[in-house]
Amino acid sequence: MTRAPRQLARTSLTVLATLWLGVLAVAVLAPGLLTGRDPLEQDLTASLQTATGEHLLGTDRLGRDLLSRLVHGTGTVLWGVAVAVVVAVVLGTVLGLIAGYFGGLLDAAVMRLSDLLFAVPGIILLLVVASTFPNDVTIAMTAFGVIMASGLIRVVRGATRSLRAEQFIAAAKVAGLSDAQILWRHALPRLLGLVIVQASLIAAVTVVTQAGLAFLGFGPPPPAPTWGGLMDEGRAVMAQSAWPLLPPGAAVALTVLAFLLIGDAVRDRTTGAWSTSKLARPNRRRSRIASGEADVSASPAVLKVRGLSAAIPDRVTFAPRTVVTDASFEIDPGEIVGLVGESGSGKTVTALSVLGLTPGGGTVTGGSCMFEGLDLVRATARQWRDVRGRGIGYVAQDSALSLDPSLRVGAQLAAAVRRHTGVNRRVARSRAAELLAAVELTDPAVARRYPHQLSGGMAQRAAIAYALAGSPRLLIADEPTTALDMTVQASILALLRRLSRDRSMAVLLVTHDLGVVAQLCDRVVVMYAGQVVERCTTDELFTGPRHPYSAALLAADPSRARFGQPLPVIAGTAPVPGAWPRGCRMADRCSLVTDQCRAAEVPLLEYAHGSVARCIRVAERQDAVPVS
Amino acid sequence: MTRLVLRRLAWSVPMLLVITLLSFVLVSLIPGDTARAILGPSAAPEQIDAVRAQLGLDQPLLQQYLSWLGRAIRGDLGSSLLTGVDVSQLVNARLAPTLSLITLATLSAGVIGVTLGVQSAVRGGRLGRLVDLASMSGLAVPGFALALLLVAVFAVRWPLFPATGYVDFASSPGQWLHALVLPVAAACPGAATAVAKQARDATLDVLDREFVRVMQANGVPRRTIIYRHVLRNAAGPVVSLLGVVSASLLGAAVLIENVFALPGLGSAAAVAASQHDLPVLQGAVVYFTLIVIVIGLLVDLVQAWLDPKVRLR
Amino acid sequence: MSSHDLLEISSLSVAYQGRPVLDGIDLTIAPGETVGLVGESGAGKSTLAWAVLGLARPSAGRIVFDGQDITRAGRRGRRLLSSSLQMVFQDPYSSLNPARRIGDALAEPLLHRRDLSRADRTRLVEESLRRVGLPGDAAQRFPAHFSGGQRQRIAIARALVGSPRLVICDEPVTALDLSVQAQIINLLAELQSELGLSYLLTAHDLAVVRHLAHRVVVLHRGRVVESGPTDVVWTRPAHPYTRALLAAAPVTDPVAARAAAAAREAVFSTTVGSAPPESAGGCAYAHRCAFAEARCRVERPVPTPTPDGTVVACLRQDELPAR
Repeated sequence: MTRAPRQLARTSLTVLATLWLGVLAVAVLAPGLLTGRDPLEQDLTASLQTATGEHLLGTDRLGRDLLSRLVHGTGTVLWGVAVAVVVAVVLGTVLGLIAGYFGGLLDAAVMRLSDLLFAVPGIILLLVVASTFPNDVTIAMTAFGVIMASGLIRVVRGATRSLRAEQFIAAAKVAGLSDAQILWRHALPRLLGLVIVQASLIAAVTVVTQAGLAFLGFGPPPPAPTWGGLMDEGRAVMAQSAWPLLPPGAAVALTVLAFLLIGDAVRDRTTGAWSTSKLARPNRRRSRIASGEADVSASPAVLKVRGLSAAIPDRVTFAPRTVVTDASFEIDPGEIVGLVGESGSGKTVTALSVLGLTPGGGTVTGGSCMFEGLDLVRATARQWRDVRGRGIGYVAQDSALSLDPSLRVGAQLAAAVRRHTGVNRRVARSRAAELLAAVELTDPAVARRYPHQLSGGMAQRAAIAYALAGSPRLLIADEPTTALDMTVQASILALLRRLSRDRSMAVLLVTHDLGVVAQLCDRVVVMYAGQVVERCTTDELFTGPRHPYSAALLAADPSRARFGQPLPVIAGTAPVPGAWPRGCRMADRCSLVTDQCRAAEVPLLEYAHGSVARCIRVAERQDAVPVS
Repeated sequence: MTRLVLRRLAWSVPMLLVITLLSFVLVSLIPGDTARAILGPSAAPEQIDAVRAQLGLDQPLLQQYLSWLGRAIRGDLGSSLLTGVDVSQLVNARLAPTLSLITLATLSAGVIGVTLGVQSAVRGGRLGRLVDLASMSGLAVPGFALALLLVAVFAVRWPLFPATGYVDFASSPGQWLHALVLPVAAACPGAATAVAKQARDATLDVLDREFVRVMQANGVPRRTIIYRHVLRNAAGPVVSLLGVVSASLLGAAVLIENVFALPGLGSAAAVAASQHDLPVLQGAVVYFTLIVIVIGLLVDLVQAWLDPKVRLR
Repeated sequence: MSSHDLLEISSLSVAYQGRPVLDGIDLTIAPGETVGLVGESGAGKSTLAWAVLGLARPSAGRIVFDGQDITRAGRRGRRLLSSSLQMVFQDPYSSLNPARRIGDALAEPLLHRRDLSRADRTRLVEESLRRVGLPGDAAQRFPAHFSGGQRQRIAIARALVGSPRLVICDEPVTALDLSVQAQIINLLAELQSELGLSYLLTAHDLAVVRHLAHRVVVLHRGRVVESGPTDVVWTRPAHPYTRALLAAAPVTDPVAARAAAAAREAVFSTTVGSAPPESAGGCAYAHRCAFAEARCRVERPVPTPTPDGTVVACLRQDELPAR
C-alpha cells in the first residue's frame, strides 16, 4: 500500500468516527430526532422482536423499543466519559507536569502517588464507590478518573522530563520567563497532542468500564436505560434470543472505536509516528537494476564503485527519491580513502549502499560495486554472508550505540568471532581478547563490561574490534570520530592508520571533517548534492582543489583562515535531494558560474592522472578529458 | 538487585495501608446500617445497638480501622456479616479461579501479542496496519460482551464448552482447562492486542537503533539480529505492559467471572459490594492489592534481568 | 583585575551531586572582547556558561556582571539581566520550540519589559531578524520552515533582541556544516564589531576559537590550566595539557598533519582508557601527563603569570622543554 490511499483510508475512518460521536451528541441533546418512542413504553405483544419497521433495533422482553432505550441511555455514557476524562486529564497533566519539570522531592512524591493509584484495584474500588453512592454516575466516574490519572501522570512526566532537556527551555529561562510561563508557553503546547491521545484512550476505557458497572447492576436504577444495563437484560433472555445483546454491544464497540480512531489520528499528526528501521530488507529486485559496465579490468582495487545510484522513499509520499547519482570511485588494498561531504551530500548513503544497506528503506537503483570480483549490487543473500563482516567491516559514528546494550562486550566479540570462523567458545574468547588488545584495550576487565560502561573512546575501540572480528580487507567507517573529544579522536585516527598498515586493510572513511582527511587519508572523494564532484589525492585536494566546491570548502575552514579576516563563505545552502538544479548542482552558489554550467549535466573531467573534477571550467585551464 | 527487591517490598507496606484505609473509609460511608441489615427491619433499637457494639461499629472510624488492621496482620480478616464465613478462608478459596484466569489470559495475550507485534514491525506494511486495526477492535469489544457472545455461540448454540462453572486444577487439569477456555478467550483479545501494539512500537524503536545496522553490516544474520538482539532489547516496555495488562485483567475478571459464574475473587467482591458485606469486600481489596504489588515486583525483576543498566544501578 | 571588565568571575566552584565540576575558576571578559573556552567534554565549559546565566548554582565564588554581583541573583534579578546577558545554544534544532512561532521565541527576552508595547516588541523582533540576515516576516513562521544555519541565525537574533552586552555562545557552530559554519562565524564577528558585544565562546573545534577569540582559557577537569592571548597560547602553549590539546587538533594540511602525528607520540602518554584517580590534591592532569613527577600528584599547582602574558597552572612550567 502506498502512503496516499493509506492516509485516505485513515482520514475517512476518522471522519466516520467523528460522525458517530456527532450522532451520540444528537442522541443526548435532541433524542427526538433519532427516535419518537418512549424508552419506558412497554408492549408485551411485541416482546423480543428483532429489527422491524416498527422497532428499528427490535424490542426487549417487555417489548420496549431498543433503539429508544439505547438513545436515551447515551446521556449517561457521555456524561460519565466527560467526567472521567476531565478528572484524569486535569489531575494527570498537572501532576505529570509538576513532577517532570521540577523533579526532586516533588517528583518522588508524585511518582509514589502514581504507583499507589496504579496499585489500587480499580474495579473493586469502583464497586465500593458505586455501593457507597448508589446510582451516582458522577461520583463513580470521578473516582475512575482519579484512578486512570496514574497512567497519564507517567506519560506526561516522561514527556516533560525529556522536554526539560531541550535547549529552548534553557533559552526561556535565560529570557527571564517564570516557571509558570515556561510550562504554559513551552511545555503545554508540546504536550497537547500527547494528552489528547491519552484522553481518547481514557474515554474508550471509560465507556467499557461504565458499561461493565451497569452490567453488574451498579448503574442508574432500572427501568432507566443504560448500555450496560441493556446488555445485562439481554443476558437474561440469551437462551431465547441473542438479538437484544447486539444493539448495546455494537454501540459500546463503535463508541470505543471512535475514540481510539480519533486518538490515533491525533497521534499521527503530532508525532509523525513512523520510525525508520535500520534493518535493511533483502533486496528482491536485484535483477532489475540496470547493469553498469561491469569493470573487468585487472586493476588491483579491492573495491570498485561504478555509476552507483541510490533512491530512498520519501517520508510522506513514499515515492522513491534519488539521493545519490552516478557515484564512482575505487579503493586499493591498504589504502585509506576519504568520502567527504556535508550533510545531505549522499556520502553516508553511498557508503551504506556499498554494503547493500541503503538507509531509510532505500535501494540501489543503478551502477555496480565490484568487491574482489563480485558485484555487490547483484549479490545474493548467500554471497553477502561472505562479504559482510568477512570481506567488509563497518564502524558507525555513535560508538555508544554501536553494540547491543544488553550484552557484555567480550561476549559480543566472541559471538562475532565464532560466526566468522566457526571456532569453539574457548578459542573465540581468547580471540576476542586478542581483538581488544589489537585496538589497544588491554585491560581484561573491558571484555566483562557492558557497552554503556565504556567511555566514548573505549566504546569506539570496541566497535572497531567488532568490525575486525572477521578480518575484513575493507573497513567502512562512517564518521568514526565525530562524537569524540579532540585528543581521543587523534588516538582513534592513529589506531585506524596503524590497523590499515599492519593488516593491509583498506579503509573507506566517511567524514565531513577536512582535518580528519588531512591526517588519515591517501585519497579523497568529495561529494556534493548526491554527486561525486572531485576525486584526487589528499595532497592535491589541500594544495590545489579543482572543483569550486572543494576550493570553497577549504577556504571556509577557520583553521586555514587569517585571524581578524572574514571567512570566505559559500553563499546559501546545498540543495536538498529533489531540488537539484539542472546542470551543475553547485551553479547557484558558485562564483565562476556561466550559462553553460546550467545547460547540461556536467561530467567528471580528468585533470591529472587519476584525478577528476565535475566542473566545466576545469577544462578551460587543463587538458582535461571526460571520464565516467 | 536485592536492594531493588527490598525497596519495592518496603514500599508495598505503606501502599497496602493507604489502600485498605481508603477502602475502609469508603465502605463505612455506604448508606444503610450493617446491624439493621443483619437483624432485619423489625429489630428493636436496643438489639441494633447491641449488635453494633458487638461488631465494634459504635467506635470511631480510625479505631475500627486499627483494630481491623491489628487482626488482619495476624491473618484474621474477620468474617462475613451475612454468612458468617471466615473471610480469609473464603478469599483463599476464591483465589485459584481468579489467578488461573489472569495467568492464562496474560500468558496467551503475551504469546499472541508479541508474535503479532514483532512480525508486524519486522515485515511492516499491510501486517502492521492490520495489527493496528486489530488492536483497536480488540480493545473496542469489552471482555464481558465478548464473553456473552462466546457463551451464546460455543456454549448455547454449539455446546463445546461449559457456559459456567470451574473445576480445580488439582482434581482434573483437563477439565480445569476446559472450563477456562471460554473465560480466557473472552479476556484475551483486548489484552493481546494491547500487547501487540506495544511489542510493535518497541520493536520498531529498537530496529531504529544504530547497533542493528552495525550488526547487519558486520554479517550478523537477520534472524539472529531480530530474535536474539532486537527482541531482548524490546522486551522491557513489553514486560511493563504485560504487568499493566495483567493488573487490568483483574478488573475484567470481575465481569468475566460474573458471566461465567466462576467462583473467583472478582465475583465475590461484586456480590459483597452489592450486599454491603464490608469484611469480605475489605478482604478482596487486600488480596487484589497484594496481587498488583506482586505483579509490579515481578515486572521489576524481569526488567532488571533484561537490562544491565537497571541491574547494575 | 581591571574595573572595566564586563564580566568578572572569581574562585567560582560548582558541584554536581557532591562532585566538583568547576573548581576555583577565575575569568574576566572586557567589553567588546571574545574569550574562548577550550577543553574536552567534562572539563566544565558548559557548566561555566550555565553558571553565569544562573542555570547552574555555584557552590562558592563570585560572578560580577557590569559591576553587579549576580552570583545568587534571584528570578527577579535574572529577569532584569536577561536583556543584557544572553546565550546562543549549540543545537539549532533543540533551541527553538517547534510548536511556537519564531516571533514568539524572539519576543521572550522582551516580555518582562513593561516599557515596551506589543508594537515595540514586534518592531524589535523584526529589526533583530533583519540584522542577522533574515526577512522580518520570518517572525510569522515556525522553526520547521528553516534550515539548520537559518535556525542558528534565528537563535542569534533572539539573543540580540534585547541589545545585550555579553552573549554566551555555547558551541554555536558545532552542529552546522562547514560552509554554513563559516557564515555564522562571520556573522558573530560582524555583530561584535557593529554592536561592541562581548562573547564567551566555547567550541569543540579549536580553529573556531582561534579565529574568533581574543583571549583563550583552557579548562581541564574543572580548573583553568592556562589562559592568555589567543595567539600566544597557540604559538607557545605552556601547559602540557594545552600542548596535547593543540597537538590533537586536526590540521587541514596533510604535510603538517603527518608531522603533527609524529610529534603527538611525544606528547601523549601511552596509557589508554586509564581512569583518572579521584584524588583531592595534586594536578588533575598528572595521570596523563608525560612530564609528571611525584610531586605533581600531591601538590596542587597555582595559576602563575608568565613573561608571555599568560597565566599557567603547572608546577614544572619553567622546567618543560620549549616548544
